[in-house]
Amino acid sequence: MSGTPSQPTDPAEIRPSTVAPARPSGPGAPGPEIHAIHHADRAALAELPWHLPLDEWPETLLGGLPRGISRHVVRYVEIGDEVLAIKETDDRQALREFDILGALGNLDVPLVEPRAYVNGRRTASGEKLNGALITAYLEFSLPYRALFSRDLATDTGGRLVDALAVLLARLHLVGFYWGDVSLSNTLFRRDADAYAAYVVDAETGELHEQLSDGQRNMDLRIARMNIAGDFLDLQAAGLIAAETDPLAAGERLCESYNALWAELTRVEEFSVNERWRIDERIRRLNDLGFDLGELTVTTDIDGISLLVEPKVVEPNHHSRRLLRLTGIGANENQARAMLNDLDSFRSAPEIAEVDELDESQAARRWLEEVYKPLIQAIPENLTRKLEPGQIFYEFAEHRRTMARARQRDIPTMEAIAYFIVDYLANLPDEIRYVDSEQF
Amino acid sequence: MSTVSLNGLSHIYENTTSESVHPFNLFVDTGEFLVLYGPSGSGKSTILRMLHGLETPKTGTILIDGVDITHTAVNDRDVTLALESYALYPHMSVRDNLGFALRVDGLPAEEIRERVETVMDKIGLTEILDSVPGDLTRLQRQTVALARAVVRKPKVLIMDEPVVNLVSEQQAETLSLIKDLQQEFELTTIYATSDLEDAKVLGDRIALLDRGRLIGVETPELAEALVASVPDTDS
Repeated sequence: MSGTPSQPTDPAEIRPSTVAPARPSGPGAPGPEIHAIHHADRAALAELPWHLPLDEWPETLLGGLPRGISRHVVRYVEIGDEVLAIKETDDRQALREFDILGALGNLDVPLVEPRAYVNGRRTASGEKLNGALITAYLEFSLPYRALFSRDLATDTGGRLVDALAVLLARLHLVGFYWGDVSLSNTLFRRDADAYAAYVVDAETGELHEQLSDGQRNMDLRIARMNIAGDFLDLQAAGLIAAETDPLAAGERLCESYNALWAELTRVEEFSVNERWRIDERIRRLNDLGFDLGELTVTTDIDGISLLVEPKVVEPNHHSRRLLRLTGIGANENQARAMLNDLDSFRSAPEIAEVDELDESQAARRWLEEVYKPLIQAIPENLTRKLEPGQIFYEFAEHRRTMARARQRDIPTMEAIAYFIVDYLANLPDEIRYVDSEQF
Repeated sequence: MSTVSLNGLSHIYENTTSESVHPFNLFVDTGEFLVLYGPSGSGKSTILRMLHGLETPKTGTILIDGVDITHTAVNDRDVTLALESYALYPHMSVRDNLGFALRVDGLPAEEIRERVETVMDKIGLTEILDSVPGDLTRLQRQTVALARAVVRKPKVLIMDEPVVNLVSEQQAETLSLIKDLQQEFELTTIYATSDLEDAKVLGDRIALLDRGRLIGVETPELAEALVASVPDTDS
């Protein structure tokens, strides 16, 4: 995708209309202006000690939830059942990032949800303090460092980098130049045997109608450098082996991104007799997790060749299909795994030979006979371990391993019982990553 | 040390009717500190972005040392944006924080060591080479962040309002640091700001921009007169 880039979007044009009007924190006080999307947030946020720099806030208010390398002080505060992340930054930047995150959210980009921004902070003696950006803590997400200390599976780094490449391609498709691509500025959720990446820091970003090649290449250049730095720092911290090549991770991101970008955007030319190649292209996009929303097909002047170019590609092909069939919301690779399980369920002899079920009928039975029994069997105290979609994926893997070991099919309820006791109960809680180490 | 020559350079954003930067000529001499000064929307950031490769000029050419880089890929320009981020990697020593970009660029270990030590020796901070960022003062961290750009020996160093987010005391410290390093290493530097006082402190010359037009280029002593000569400027 190339062309003349547009001027970065004016934040004023994209600001959510639901933002509450500014008001001082207390009667007569020249206190902070708290602009929150939800009224309840605004009331709760008003109770916080905004007259103090964030690094002086009392420990009693805070959760020990580090996020990674940051040029800003970030604190986490529990409000009701939720945790909110508060980042200290100057007034203008807080508003700008709030607006950008909101605009990206409207474009269905995976990111942390902006909730409020705070301007006009002053100390008790009237000195000006920086403002703040408030986002919702992304449950079940982990910073990359935590994954390196927890995941002993092979190629954790490669899978994180691949997830970041997908995120970057999605951002570029919607016209977002990030300007500071790194593992540190990203959060990760488990997604079957891969990860799903979320934007957590967009302060250097710009939203355009369309990116130029120069902008995309600059993001890749920055990514290559930053990811090498991220991996070198992991090595210095002893979290990856000394023999690992930290520089290879940055190269891998560029390769993954370029391959994906080419598949999403390149123009293909073939003979008018080869229309089946359009189906092939669509299938390849589906396999990569994308749907084709709009395709341009042009015939050349002699009517011999077709030029085929995807115009609109949309992510979450499998997630959307799963949602349509079952009502289950899941990450892309989790959804892919569930759809595979659904296909196996439908083709099993006891189902296929008795009832000829169409896809939606099979989905309803799979939901009632496989998915719901598992999710409903999870004790309340274990629901903090993993997201439901990941629970299903881990369960299916566990059942397969058991079946192989015992050389027989494992009935669903038996498999569920073993999964809970032998596997799930032994995992750490991941709903909120808590660690005392401040990175 | 390099020269920069901008010839007939202009820029227009898509879906707009007027040029964001009208055609202009500007020459920056080797080792010179040139400040692009103007209010928000005057075009200074767009000029830096064209130099950096983020925006494509509508017309004109960009020459570095006489070589046309107007359409050169961003990776091959040797233009470095400094102080975009003050973040340092917490587990890496100062030495490694300074040298990792050179490793990514494929330089041999011996050359990396020499470059890092030379830069830190010139700024008198060799004693912190083996410290980690957590052991440094804020100013030392900022110095290391700036030295990280210097150690790459870019042909041109560019900075886009790097102190705007800092409180005033930190701004003064950082400006002084930037000026010292630029002079010490004689780096050809182009710096954008909307603060005339900063421009006067830093610049060998100041280029005044207003609504996408280059109004003129003056020494710091004459900059205020130049600004005053623009009747409708917001500055």
